Amino acid sequence: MSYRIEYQWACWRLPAGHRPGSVTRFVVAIEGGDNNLCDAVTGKRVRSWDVCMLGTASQVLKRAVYFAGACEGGSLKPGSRDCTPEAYIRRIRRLLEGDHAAPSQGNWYPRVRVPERHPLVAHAQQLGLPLTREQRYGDWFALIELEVSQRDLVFDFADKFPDLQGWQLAEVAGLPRT
Amino acid sequence: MTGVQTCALPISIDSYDGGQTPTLLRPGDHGISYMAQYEIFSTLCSDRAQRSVDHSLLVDGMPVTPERYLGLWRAAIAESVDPAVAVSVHGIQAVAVLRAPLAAVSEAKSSWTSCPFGTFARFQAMYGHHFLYGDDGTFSLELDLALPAHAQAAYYAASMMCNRFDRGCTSWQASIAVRQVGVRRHQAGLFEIAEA
Repeated sequence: MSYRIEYQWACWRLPAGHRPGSVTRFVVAIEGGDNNLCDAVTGKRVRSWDVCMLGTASQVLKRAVYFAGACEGGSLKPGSRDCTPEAYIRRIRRLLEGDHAAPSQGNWYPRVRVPERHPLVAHAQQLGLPLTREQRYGDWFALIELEVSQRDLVFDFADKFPDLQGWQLAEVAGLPRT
Repeated sequence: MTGVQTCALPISIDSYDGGQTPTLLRPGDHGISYMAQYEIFSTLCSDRAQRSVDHSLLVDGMPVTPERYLGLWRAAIAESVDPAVAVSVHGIQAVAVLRAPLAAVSEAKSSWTSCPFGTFARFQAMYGHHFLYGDDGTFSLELDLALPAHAQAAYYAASMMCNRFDRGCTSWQASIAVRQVGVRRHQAGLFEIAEA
């Protein structure tokens, strides 16, 4: 049976800004990959960093709970070890509540890619954001271009469209690989 | 695969506006399935445990963390009871409800080699005394899961019905209903027993 292995976790805490009602937001990136996919050159299991959870503490924890559901059946193994859903949620909660610094290297940046018919596309057009089309594996996607200064918009998108996954809204670069 | 995996019918006692209702964790009208432990946790993590994060789901009126909530279910699963005890102790009866046009299923055969009756006709011969026949050619029956072999029979009969009808079709039903029997007040949840 194949399963996903998670190797490393990184979390950025973005303190509440000056906008009324704003709250602290988090971006959680996870380095992970499938147990049965190996790199043809190195022979190591394939892995990549992806933004997996993004938003308020509540939004991030809800997503963590959703992912945790795969632990009980062995489809998700942090560190390649069996783990209960409760332990997985605790791990993510510690990331949010820990007094840790942001990762010493690497950063996250907005990169919004959604299916062309997703309502976020119409919303982005209303906001006057530039769009480009991209075909991936035969399906058309819309790429919404955001400047780094506009990156907080991804949290508005996460609030408005809770169906969107973190990796549809942001990416990471420069984080150390295992 | 080897070994036998125990499956369960996870039921919560939901409280709304002071009333208490036993609720099946994964309801559905087109199939009877009993849940393995990993399915229970997957289902919980897709809905109820998430709702505990922002306290839109409370346990005994109190907020709980999702970790604690899942832990309570884990304890409840460890202390799970058979359907007969669920009736006598908790006042919860689980019944399988089957309903369909008889002509459409009368020739059905089971795709399971482990099915104890093999064909729907034989199932009808064994459980026909429970059948109710409607004027429109439909049959309906309820099998009390607390009675011996009824849970197994309901599963295989529903499986044959699933092979004959589309999921979206409303002319048939194979589901599990949970009912409150007697006038006893439910304990606030199976959790209380699990925690004792």
